[in-house]
Amino acid sequence: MTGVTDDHALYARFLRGLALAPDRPAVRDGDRVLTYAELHEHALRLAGALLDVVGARPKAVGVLAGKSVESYAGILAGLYSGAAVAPLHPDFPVERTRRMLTAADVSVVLGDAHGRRMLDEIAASGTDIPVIGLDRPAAGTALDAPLPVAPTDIAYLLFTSGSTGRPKGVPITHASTAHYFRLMDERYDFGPDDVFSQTFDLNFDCAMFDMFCAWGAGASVHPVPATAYLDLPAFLAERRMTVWFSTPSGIVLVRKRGGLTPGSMPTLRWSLFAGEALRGDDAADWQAAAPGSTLENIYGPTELTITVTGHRWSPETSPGLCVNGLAPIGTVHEGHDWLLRTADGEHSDTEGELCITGPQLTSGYLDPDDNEGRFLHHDSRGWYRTGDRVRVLPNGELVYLGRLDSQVQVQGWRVELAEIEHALRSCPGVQDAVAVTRTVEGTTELVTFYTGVPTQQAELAGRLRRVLPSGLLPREYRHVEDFPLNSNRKVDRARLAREAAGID
Amino acid sequence: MWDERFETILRKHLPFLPDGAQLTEGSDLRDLGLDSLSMVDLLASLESTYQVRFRDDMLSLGNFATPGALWATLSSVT
Repeated sequence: MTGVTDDHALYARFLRGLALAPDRPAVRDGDRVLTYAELHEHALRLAGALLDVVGARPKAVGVLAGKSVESYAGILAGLYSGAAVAPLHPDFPVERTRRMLTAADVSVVLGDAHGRRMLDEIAASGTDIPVIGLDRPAAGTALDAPLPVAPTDIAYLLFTSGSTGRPKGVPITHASTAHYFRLMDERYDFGPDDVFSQTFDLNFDCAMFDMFCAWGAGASVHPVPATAYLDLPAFLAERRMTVWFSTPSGIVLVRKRGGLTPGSMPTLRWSLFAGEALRGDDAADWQAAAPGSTLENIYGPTELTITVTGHRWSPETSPGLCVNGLAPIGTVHEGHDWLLRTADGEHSDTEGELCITGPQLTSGYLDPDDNEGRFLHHDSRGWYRTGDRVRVLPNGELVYLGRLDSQVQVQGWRVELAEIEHALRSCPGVQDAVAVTRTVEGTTELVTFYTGVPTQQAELAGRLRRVLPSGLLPREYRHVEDFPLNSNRKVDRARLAREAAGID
Repeated sequence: MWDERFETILRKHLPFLPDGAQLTEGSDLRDLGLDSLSMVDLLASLESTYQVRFRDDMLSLGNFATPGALWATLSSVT
């Protein structure tokens, strides 16, 4: 292709697919299909427009759009322009998105109609960032070829939740993604005939897996609409889908709709799960429903480039490896070192907080203040403290035990309970707030308790929607006169959690 | 305005709607507790009750914002 030698560039994976399968679909959304050649051309045109608007190579490009074929072109265009891409969610609260744009130092945004409406609101509040419409043909000159990037340049920027509602920006370099996708090429056997599901929102790093594993192989990605879950086996059959990747909550949804019967998903060759703890029973049921597929539990925080461990499920041996009913997360990726840190800061051979260093590690949060307490300095290297407690199994694989802090995962989204509490405490009439989780039919839900003036749940929900992404909204707001206290005179969170679950 | 079956099905998916409170065309369904998971259930109930199929492109959030918008979407496939 046009003299691009930057094999480390994340977009090089798309160019590989383009060379393999120029006229095959790169992305399909409903009836809308873009081939590799079409998507390439569209992205070069948009990248040209980006350079025109900024007058130079943009530092960071925001993509504020739903999961349509246009947003894929936007992500690719940002990469082609040599910038760091920051995929943003058009349904996130305006103020949160404004903070992300500012923190990422975004110089221009590619937006669909929905995204542009939000940008108008953001502009009205004083943060004016140039915007290019994804759904309109871009003016200006198309690029001849993607601009070269250095391995140390940032490929993408994503945000995770902080405790005060201020999102933390995680930059990931081309060198990190190059290491990651080289391992994925070795681990899997994807080819141009594969059809990938795209269940994750584009501002979630697992979406990068689908896109760039598929594109590196000349395969296609299909955003999965909510209607697909009404009858997922039929959807998979219709699309001839071969690679499924979702959170384990996806399994629960399919079961609830009666779709998880033995042999119901025969087209699948690979079934991958990440984003929250995978229950062994769920893995076994999915495996029986998709017997032609190899099932894996893959694990990793955004800070370590998508996923950094993996366990290949075996119906014979894996059930015996589960701890507390949870499937192992497996072994750590090649090229990385890991250690287990105990509560008193020592290292353990058997159990502790998983700390990892290696080529997939982020260079640190966008705001250096956020690095405090998240990185360990040992052996003159920085190690990311995952906050996840794990145990080493006799076969050397790791299994997840729980969190060290009050971070929880709701349908794959990481959130600090403190952030929910902070948001609720900011509502008029609310004096104090406590957030807990409960498990309903295998999925995690947030439940809140508050003191102060009893308020309609709809009103509190309406207020929280302005500051929290919709996936992180509590399912219940319960008023209490006072919080129960434990013997240390602290709020008895365990008791509230039991109450929320209906056990007390 | 919608029929009674629609009202009954919809109310079941709105945990934050106080008992006896009225649903209006412009009520905000998200504020009333409709989330992405319960939306799938709601769709399934509407499909089986009205014997219709929603198309994938009907699932934009705007079509679920209010009872009025949802009823209009449903009416377009019945």
